Amino acid sequence: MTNIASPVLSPLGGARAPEGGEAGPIQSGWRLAMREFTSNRLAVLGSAILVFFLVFCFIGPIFYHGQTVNTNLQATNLPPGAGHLLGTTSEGFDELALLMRGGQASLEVAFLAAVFGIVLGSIWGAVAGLVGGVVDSVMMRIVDVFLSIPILFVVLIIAVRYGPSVLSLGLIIGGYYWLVPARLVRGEVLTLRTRDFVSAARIAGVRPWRLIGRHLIPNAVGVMIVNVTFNVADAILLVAALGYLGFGLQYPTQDWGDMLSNGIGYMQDGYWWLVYPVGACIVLVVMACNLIGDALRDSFDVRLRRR
Amino acid sequence: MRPFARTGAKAAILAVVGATALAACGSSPSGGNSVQLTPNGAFGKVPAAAPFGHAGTITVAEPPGATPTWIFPVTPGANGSVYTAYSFQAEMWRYLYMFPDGAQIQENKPMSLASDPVWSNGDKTVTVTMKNWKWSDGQPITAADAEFFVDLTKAAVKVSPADYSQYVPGVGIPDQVVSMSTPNSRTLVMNLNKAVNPTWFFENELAGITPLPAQAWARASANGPILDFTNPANALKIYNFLAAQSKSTGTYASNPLWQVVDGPYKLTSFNNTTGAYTMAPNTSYSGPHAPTMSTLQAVPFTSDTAEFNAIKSGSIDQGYLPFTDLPQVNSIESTYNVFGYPGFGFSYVTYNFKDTTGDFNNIIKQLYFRQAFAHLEDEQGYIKAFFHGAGGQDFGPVPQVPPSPYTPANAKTNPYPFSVSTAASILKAHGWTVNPGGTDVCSKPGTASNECGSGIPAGTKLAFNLIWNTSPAIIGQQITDLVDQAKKVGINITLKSDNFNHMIATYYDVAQPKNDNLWAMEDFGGFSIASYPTMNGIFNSTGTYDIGGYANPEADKLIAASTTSSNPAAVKAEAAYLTQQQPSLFQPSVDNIEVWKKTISGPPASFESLTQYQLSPEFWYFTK
Repeated sequence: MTNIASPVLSPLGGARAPEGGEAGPIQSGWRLAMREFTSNRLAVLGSAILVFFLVFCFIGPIFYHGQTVNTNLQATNLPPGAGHLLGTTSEGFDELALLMRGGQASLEVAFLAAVFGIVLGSIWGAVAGLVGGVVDSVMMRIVDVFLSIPILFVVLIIAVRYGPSVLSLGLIIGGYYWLVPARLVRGEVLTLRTRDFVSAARIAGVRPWRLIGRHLIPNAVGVMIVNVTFNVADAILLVAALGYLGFGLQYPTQDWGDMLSNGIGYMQDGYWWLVYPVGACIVLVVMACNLIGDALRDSFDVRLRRR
Repeated sequence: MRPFARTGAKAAILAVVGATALAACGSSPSGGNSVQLTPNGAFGKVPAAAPFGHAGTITVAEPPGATPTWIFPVTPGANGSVYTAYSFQAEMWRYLYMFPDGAQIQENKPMSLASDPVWSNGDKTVTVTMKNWKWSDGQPITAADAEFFVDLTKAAVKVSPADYSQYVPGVGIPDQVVSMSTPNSRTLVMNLNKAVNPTWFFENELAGITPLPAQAWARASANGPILDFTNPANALKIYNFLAAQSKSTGTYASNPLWQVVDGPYKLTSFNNTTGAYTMAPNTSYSGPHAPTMSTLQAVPFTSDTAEFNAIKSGSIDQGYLPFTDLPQVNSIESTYNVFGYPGFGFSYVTYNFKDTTGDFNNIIKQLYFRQAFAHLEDEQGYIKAFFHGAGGQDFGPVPQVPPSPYTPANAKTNPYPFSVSTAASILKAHGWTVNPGGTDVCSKPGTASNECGSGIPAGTKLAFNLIWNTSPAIIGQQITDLVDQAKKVGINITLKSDNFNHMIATYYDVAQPKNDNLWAMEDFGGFSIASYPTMNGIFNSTGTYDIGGYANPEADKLIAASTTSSNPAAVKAEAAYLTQQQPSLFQPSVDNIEVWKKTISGPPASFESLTQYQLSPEFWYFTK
């Protein structure tokens, strides 16, 4: 309950601050966003986790050499020990080394999908927003149609038909993840196109593609970056789901979903090392991406900044 | 492993040509002593029978997806499964001849309804003499009742060939039956259109006959008169009526038709949603059974995990041990007996002899290549690492275990033992430049013995794809190791995962020739096979289930001999040839692992038969 006796606004007496707030040196939007981001503890934690996993997956294999390609039928399902820090799988692969290799594949697919999706979606949204009218309506209805199709269904069919690889999975998932960015960027462009600098550029004879590339997309980049982080998280989960269903990447390439799928059958057998570590990896990376995304959204949106 | 068994069952239904087990398998525990099983392949052991204590209610686990959907023993393919046939229908209506005997792939004579058939007229006429068993309504089981079944199968296939799951056009029952007569109530004389192999016809065709109570069922409506079923028009009316009744799953327990049985049990309740059912003993049952039979209660489960949890809590008397939970077997051994043994059949990687991609068709035609590939399979390693020891080696279409009189000598020891170096040597000796870790290339094209072979040009690479079924997990585990070993000799295999239903609908040369070039190899599971294990239909060039288009005139000749010659060793010769030729990569057989409470006992064979999908609770009793 609000205490009506409490002062709502600071009185102007006392400290002689200028009207309108404290004056300070002018900072760029990027710098303000970065300052906002770094002051967010959860964002820093998320960044640290993500950096850890990038190092773990891509640099870790340089220092830790476990077998992930050649099966070893004499060393299957071994518990964690000196030779295998996180035990072995049902094929005799080293679980820790496989976490690294599986993480590489999962992250590669996720980042590829997110980047591909954001590039495609940004262009689509920017064109729709800038051109407007019938073109905008048609382009957005196409987006609506694609959004109504369950992505897992589409990806499963394509994966079964053509066989998944890091590149193909990244492009397939990215080919779906452009829809939301397209909507968001279009929304940004709809507001930007009425601004004076856009009008000035048009009057100066700037061509539409240059207008999009030099003026519109750079001003919508905040929305795009935020969306990339969420798309990375979603893509990791989707790749894991595909792998869990048995239609993810194929041996000798493996991803975290494959590992989880292989381990889950032994859930009741006490082979915890086949399930919990990879499950934790998926949860932590997805959580990190979401924390970063939340913080970036707060940073880029002036209305959500704390100061 | 249940999922694998279901896969096998589907494959069996898929392959209802002479090679399937569904027609011929039957349950038949006989004596009180344990059958001597080959140690290879067995998991655990069956204890000797304990003294009879008392009868009661025995609860058995019904695996996920095993809900019976058909009660009438003339079963359409779409409704057939090992569970419907052997755990449900067979409790109420018994086969003319019962196979196997426990886990032994042989007839169980005490359980058969007739004496062994007698052949005449150059193996074109067979005479069957019925025993003196009775229906539950007190009427004798006559030769006409067996004839009734055959007439109804004729009517069924007229409606649709798919309406009798064991139907093969032109082969066996009913198409080869020209006429039948019943000179007296116990004798059935069957005349065939041509001479057949008596053993094949006995084990694969006659054994599939289920005598039906003509005195109660030969009618076209619930209150209609009993009709002359030997009149084809009447038989069609009767079939249509009985099939319609069978579609009404909600009335299974209340329909008086289904209460006339010759098996040990009568259905007393059936939930057509969950599949749960109970059966009460048929007090008029003529076959061997416990001093007092117990009530049977089938408890359905929606997942293997739920079933295993029920076992751990001791809430069911008999169930199965899901394969992935085998490492936990110690946790239940104080309460349950555990026994595993492979079902009679084979698992295999199918080669596509019609895939022209990269000249694979010409490569796989080479016997040396198939033999080299067989050397890359570590069956013993698979059994130890992936099957947890619960499985048996299998080197040909007729497995080593369960023991069969038709297993050829060359299938009893591995003709192509695991050896990467041997595989590499074979390839080198036939003109391939072996690149371990890379991809082999044909460097000596030609047809000489030291050259790659006909149709394989210089520069051809050993690189192709393999499509594998994601369930059960052991398929993927075996394939992963195979691909790894192949890579060591420069055979580069690209994997693609799929599921059973899509695979058999897509990668199947006979049914889908347009997809011939989409696949080089596939592993969908395997086949359950009949006690007389001819590969008619699977490895003959005209076979409906010759999935990879294997065509070999010598194999065709031997397979034909198995069904038409009078030579009792014909099928063994066929199996020996196919084992040597390796028309596919035969894989080890995994055990079906069954468990039952230590407070339940009975003849050991009655528990061993569970591994062959046979449920025989009429022999079981509580010890205290």
